[in-house]
Amino acid sequence: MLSKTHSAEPLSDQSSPAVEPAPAVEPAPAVEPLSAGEPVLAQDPRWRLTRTWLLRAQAALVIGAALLSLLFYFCLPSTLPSEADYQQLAESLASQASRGDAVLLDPHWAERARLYVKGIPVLNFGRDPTREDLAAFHRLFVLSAPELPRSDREETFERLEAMKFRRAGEPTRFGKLSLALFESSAVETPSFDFTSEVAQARVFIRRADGSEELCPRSGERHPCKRAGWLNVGAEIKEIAFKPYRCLWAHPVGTEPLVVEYTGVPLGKELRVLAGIVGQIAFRTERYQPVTLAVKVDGELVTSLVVPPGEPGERRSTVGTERFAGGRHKVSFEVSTPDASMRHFCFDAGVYP
Amino acid sequence: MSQTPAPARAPEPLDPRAPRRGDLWIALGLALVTFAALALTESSVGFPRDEGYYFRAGHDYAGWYVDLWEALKRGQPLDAFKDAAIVRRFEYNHEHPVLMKSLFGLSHLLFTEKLGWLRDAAGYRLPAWAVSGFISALIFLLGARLVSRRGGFFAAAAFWLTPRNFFHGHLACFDMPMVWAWLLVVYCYWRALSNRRWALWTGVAYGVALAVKHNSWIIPGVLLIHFLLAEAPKAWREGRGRGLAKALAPFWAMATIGPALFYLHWPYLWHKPIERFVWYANFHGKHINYPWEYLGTLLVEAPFPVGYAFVVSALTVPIALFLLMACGSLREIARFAGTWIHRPLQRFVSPLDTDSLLLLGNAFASLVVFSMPFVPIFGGVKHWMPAMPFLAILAARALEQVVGTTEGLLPAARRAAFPGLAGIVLLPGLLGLVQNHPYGTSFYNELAGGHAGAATLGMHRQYWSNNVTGVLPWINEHAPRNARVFFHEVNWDSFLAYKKAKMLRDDIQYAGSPQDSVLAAYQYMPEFRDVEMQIWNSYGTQTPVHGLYLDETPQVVVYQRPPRG
Repeated sequence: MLSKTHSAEPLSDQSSPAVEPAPAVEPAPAVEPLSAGEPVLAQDPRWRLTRTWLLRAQAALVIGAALLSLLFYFCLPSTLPSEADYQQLAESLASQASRGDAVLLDPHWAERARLYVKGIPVLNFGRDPTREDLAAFHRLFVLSAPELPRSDREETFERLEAMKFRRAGEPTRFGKLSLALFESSAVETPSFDFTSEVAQARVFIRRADGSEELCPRSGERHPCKRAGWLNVGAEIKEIAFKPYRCLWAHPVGTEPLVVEYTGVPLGKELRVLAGIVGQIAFRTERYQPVTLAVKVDGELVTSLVVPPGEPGERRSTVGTERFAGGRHKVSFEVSTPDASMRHFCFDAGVYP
Repeated sequence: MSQTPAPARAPEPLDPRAPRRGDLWIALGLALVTFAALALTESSVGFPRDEGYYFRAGHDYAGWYVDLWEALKRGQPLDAFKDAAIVRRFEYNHEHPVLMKSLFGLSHLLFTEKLGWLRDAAGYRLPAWAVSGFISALIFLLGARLVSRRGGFFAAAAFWLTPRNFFHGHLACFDMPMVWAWLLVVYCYWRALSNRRWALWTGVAYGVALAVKHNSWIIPGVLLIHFLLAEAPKAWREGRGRGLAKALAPFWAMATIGPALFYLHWPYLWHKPIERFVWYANFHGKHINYPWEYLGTLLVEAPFPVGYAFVVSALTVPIALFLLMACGSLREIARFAGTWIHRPLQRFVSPLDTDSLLLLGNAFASLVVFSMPFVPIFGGVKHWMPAMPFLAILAARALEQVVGTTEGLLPAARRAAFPGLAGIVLLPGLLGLVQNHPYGTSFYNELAGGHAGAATLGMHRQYWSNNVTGVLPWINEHAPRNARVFFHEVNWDSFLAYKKAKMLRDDIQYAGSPQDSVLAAYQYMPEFRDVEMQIWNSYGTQTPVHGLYLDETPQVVVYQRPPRG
């Protein structure tokens, strides 16, 4: 019956009294088990020994983890850089840096350095920077906080070396920070940067009937009358956590938004990057792909499709040697079946 | 000399689950200590987004009780019961039941507005500290019976020395009240297993749980599984159908008193119960998921990683404590398996008792639900926090085992073994708590590598915007007069709360976008990375002027628009 006091059946196994609280101190509560009994092997000396060792292993695990945890908290302050470390590093950096250099953070999230490092770009391309992300820089100063928990400076160095950067000397320590210089002999900068030259572009919406609805230039941007977000201009935008300087070009819908450049001196390659901006790139629900069609003198040379739910930049490299030497009309046409939340951005450059 | 015989001691209660002599006083003491600890550390805890909404809701709902009082004084009490009068006060934030919000509002009305004893936010938060105190008491009462008295102490301490739990205990939100309500239902149900009078209280407690938050919908399922496995066969053996019907008393109570209390507590349901309840249920049935970073991936849509809740717990509960929880749980899982799944295991483990099954079920119910690939995972640990008291009790059991082992090795230190080992296990939690407070949503344990290690692992760095308190002193000191400040994730209600709490200068204005501001306090979250770039674009600089950096990890970064020219 529910209201009866139940027969004393301990909560835990009784096969190893050594691991139970001493009854004299704390009598075991009386609670009814589902079924009476104890392990079949409770009295087996071998099992008792095994069980004792298992319990000792459990004790060692817990006590060891607790002691290591205490060690973690006692050591943590000694791994952290001070303000003076940052200031000394920033002074040293200011005396060494020149145009074409940049600072790469290691770990990538350690952006406190932005408070101190001035006059030189501070890069954070997330946990997976690519060769293309860093190709424009002659020299990279890798600013590391190598003693932080889970910091792995050597992995960062190896990654850079795999991207054709060569380490120039040993890292210099500034307290808990270090600075290592990497150089690249394969710098790639565009001879014509479409994002920088957006002011000279002609921007319009090509209506279904083929007519053009102009988005007239206003300062450095090209606002369209239809909506505030239809406003082509250069900005720094985030594509899958990476900052890119690119052209904000929110599609209109099936009618293409056209960004057209004339008199472009083409060279060996035309490189294009595009992506959906911000967190919406990660969602698939009810959203549509965006297509960027690139045309040279009206001829489609490449197109990039950015589907929903597949974040990250899309890149395309087009060989344009057959156009080299002359000036051409290059147009970028952005379209989508449904423009809802298609925060789109692209960048392009001519490489000689 | 003859000795006077000692007075006869009162007999121990017959109910094996009833508190022993002195336990209720200890529980009360623990409740008071918990309440005091939260009250004394509250002022630095920022106002999360949700809390701002609940402050406002509490104020509105308390207004209905004022309306009722005024109507009574006019001799027209029915005026307050008209749907229009109810909707006027209860329309706001009707996606959650109103028990806690009403208590927040009434507490504020009494202790802040009428008596002037508490600052604005503390007036709203006080009921949350009270229920947090009850959590300590209930953990102790359960632990004292299911482990030992010292185990009960340990379990209560372990719960609060988990820094994320401690943070949530401060807030005028529903997460810690849900822990309390869940624990209360289970406590009443557990008592009802040996004293049928508690069946009625189980129904009342379930009504309270329904009135706190919809997590309570899970509880009957957990208890029903326990009943079917552990209690129903016994009841059937003892009394067939009649025995079964009697043993089901807690469920009858939950099925009747629970919904009745739920309906009665929420005036918004009174006139249109079906329509409004269906809206409420649908709201949560179709709740979108907010983006959440997990091991370097931004989770935005189902399916979510199976085991998410277990991994996040392993990285946010102090690791020694987590291991104790794991050891305690694994042992009961092995006993469960030996009892129900694979009988040969009974060679090694004893059959599972009914109380251990109850502990195990409640320790894992929330964790399992939030590990389902289709259940939204935003909010992190707070959504499965109701598991923590039960895991803490299982940890206490495991600690008793560890103590038993070491007592055998060091007989001379027998008395010091439990407090010594409990101290070693709990101290890292205390250190983490002290180091991290008041930035509770940012805490990661030693296994993660603290804030820095978690950032490298790609774990969600913070949420809810309350870390902005770390930069408010700088903004107060440096912002130009009447400066428009973009506070990013800080919503309007929280902004007002900071002003009322004198944590923010009165002249500072709320800017809705970076473009409209001269200062911006960007809160790092991966899903908002583009917001920082909007600030760079608008301000023309990528150099911040100040920030809150926890072990170097950017949490809140302040930018200032450079002067023109």
